[in-house]
Amino acid sequence: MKKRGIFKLIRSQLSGNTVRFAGLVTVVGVLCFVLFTGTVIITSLNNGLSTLGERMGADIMLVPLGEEVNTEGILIKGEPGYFYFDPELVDDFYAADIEGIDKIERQFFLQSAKQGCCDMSVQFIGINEDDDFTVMPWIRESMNRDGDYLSDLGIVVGSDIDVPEDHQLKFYGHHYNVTGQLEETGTGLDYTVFTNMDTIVDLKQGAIEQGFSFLNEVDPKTNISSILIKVKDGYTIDEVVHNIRASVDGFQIIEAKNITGSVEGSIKGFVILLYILLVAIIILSYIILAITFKLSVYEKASQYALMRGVGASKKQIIRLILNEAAVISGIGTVCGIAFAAIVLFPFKTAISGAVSMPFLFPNALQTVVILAGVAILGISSGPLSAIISAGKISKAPIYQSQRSL
Amino acid sequence: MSDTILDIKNISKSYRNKRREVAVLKDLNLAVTQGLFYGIKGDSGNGKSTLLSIIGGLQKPDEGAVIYNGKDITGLDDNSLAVLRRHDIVYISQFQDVIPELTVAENVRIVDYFDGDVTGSGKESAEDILSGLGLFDLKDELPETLSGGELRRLTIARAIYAAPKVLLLDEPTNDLDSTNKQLVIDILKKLTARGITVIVATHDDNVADSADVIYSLNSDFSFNICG
Repeated sequence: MKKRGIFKLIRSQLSGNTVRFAGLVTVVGVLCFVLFTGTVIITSLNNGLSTLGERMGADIMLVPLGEEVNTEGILIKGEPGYFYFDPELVDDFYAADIEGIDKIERQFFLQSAKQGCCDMSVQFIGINEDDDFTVMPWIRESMNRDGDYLSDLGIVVGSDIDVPEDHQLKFYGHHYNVTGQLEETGTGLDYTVFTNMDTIVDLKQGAIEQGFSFLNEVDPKTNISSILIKVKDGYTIDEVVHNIRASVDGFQIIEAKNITGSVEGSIKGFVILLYILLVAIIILSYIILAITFKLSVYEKASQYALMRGVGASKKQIIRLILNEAAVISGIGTVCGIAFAAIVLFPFKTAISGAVSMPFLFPNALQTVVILAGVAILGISSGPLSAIISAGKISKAPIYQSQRSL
Repeated sequence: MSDTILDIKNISKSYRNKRREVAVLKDLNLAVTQGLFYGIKGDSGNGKSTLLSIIGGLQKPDEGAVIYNGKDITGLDDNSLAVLRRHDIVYISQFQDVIPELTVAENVRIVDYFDGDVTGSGKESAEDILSGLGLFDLKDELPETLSGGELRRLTIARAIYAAPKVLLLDEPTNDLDSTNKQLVIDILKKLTARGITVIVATHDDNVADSADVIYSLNSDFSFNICG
C-alpha cells in the first residue's frame, strides 16, 4: 500500500508537465538507443575479428601473386572471386619441401553466376579431404558430430545462405544437397559454400554446359587457388615465411595475423570513434538531464515545500524526486532499448553487409550483459542527474518556499 | 499547568532584508491551553505568520524555545520535526496550497504518503471529513475546479485528516466571502469542541472575535491579551 501511494504521488508529479516528461523520456531514450546500438556494433566488430582469427585455421596462406587476387574480399567482405596458381608453381612448392611446415592444405575457389542457372551468387571453396585441416574440423564442430558431409555432391553452406526446405540449391543448372549449415562467423565465410573437389568438377561441368567459358582452361585436379600452411612446432611463422621466400617465387604470402591485424587496424579507428561518440552523448545527456531536472524541481519548489509542511522529511522529498527521475529514465530506457532492438536485430544482415568488416552479432549472453549494462546506465541516469537538485530543494526553507508561491 | 499544550518561551526572530537585519519577533512568550481557540491579531508584517511557522516547526527561532507537551521542539532533527508536523502540530498556510495533480480526496490523504499508512487506520475517513465540510461531491475532482472557499475547506479537511493536537491557521478567511468566512469559523469552533487546540493568525475581526482567547501582536513587538 505504501508503495502504491508513493507511485500515485510520483504519477501526479509526472502528469504535471507532459511536455517536459516526454522531453526527459526522449533524452534518456536517445541515450540508451545510442549506448545499446554502439555497444552492439563494437561487440559485433570484436566478435567478427575474433572469429576471423579462429576460422582462418592456418598460420600462413599462399595465393597467386597479382593484383586480381582479392583474398580480403573473399574472407572478410564476402565478395565472391576466383584465381588459380600456375600448376608448375605448386609443383615447385611441393618439391621444395620447405623446412618448418607441418601441414599443407589446398583449396579451390569458384564463383557462382548471378544468372538464372544459379540460385544465388556465392563463393565456393573446394577442399581436398585428404589434406584439409581447416574446413572439416570446423564443419564437424559446427554440426557437433562426425559425418561425411561433402561426399555425393553434398555441400555445406555458410550461415547467411538461405537454404530451401528441400535442402536443394541449384548452381550452374545442377542441384546440390545441402548437408549442413555452419555457425555464423560475421565474415565473408558466411556467404561461402564448401565442397569437395568432386563437386567442384561437377560445378565446372555445369558451368561449361551453361556456356560459361571462364573455367575452360582450369583443371580442378591440378589448378588450386590457395595453399594453407600450419607451422611445425618449434618454428615461428616468420621463420617459415622466410624459408618460403628463400625457396620459391610467385607466391603472395599472407600471414593470418596480418589479415586480422589489418582488419584490427581498420576496426580500431572505427571503434575509437564510436567510443568518443558514446562518451560525448553520455556527457551531453547527463548535462541536459541535470539542467532539465533542476528546472523541473525548482518549478515545483512550492509543492515540495507544501509536502514538507504537511510532514514530509528531507529524505522523503529526495526519495520522491529520485523515484520520479527513475521512473522517467526507466521509461526512456525501455523505449530506447526497444527502438534500438527494432532497428538492429531485424536488419542485422544488412548492417553487417554495410560495414564491410568482420561483424558478428553478440550471442545471447553478450546481449544480456549489454542489455543489463545499458539498462543500469539508463535507469540510473535520471536519479544521478537529479540528485544535486533534489538535495538542494529538500534543504530549502519550508516557510519561505511556501510564501514564494 | 497540566492543560498547557504549548509553551512559547522568549522567542525572537529576525530576517535579513538586503543589507540589514529586520526583527520580527522579540522575546515573545505565550502559554497555550489545550482545546482552546486562540486568535492572534495584528497588522501585516507584525510577525503573526512567522510566529505560527515557528510553532509549527516550519522554521526555527533565532532565540527561545517552543515547548510542546513538555518537550522543546526547536532542537528536534528533521525526521522528528516531520513526524511532528504530520500529526501533532499541523500548519495551514494562507495560500490555499494543494497538489494540483491530486484529486480532492487524494489531497486530503496526502499525509498517508509520508506516513506509509495509506489505510489510514484510526483516523476519520477522508470521505467523512469531506462530507462534514460539504466537499464530498467534489472528492474526485481536481483542485482547479474548486472555488476559493472550497479550497480553504479542502486545506482544513487535509489538516483534520491528520488528526492533529494543535491546528495552526494563517489568515484562514483571506479572500473569502462572508458566507464562507462564517463556514470556516464554524468549522474551527467544532474542532475546538473536539479538543483540538486552534491558533489562528488573522487581521479579520470576525475570526478573532470568535476565538476563546485573543492576542494582539504589535509593531513594537509587544504581545498582549486583548480579549
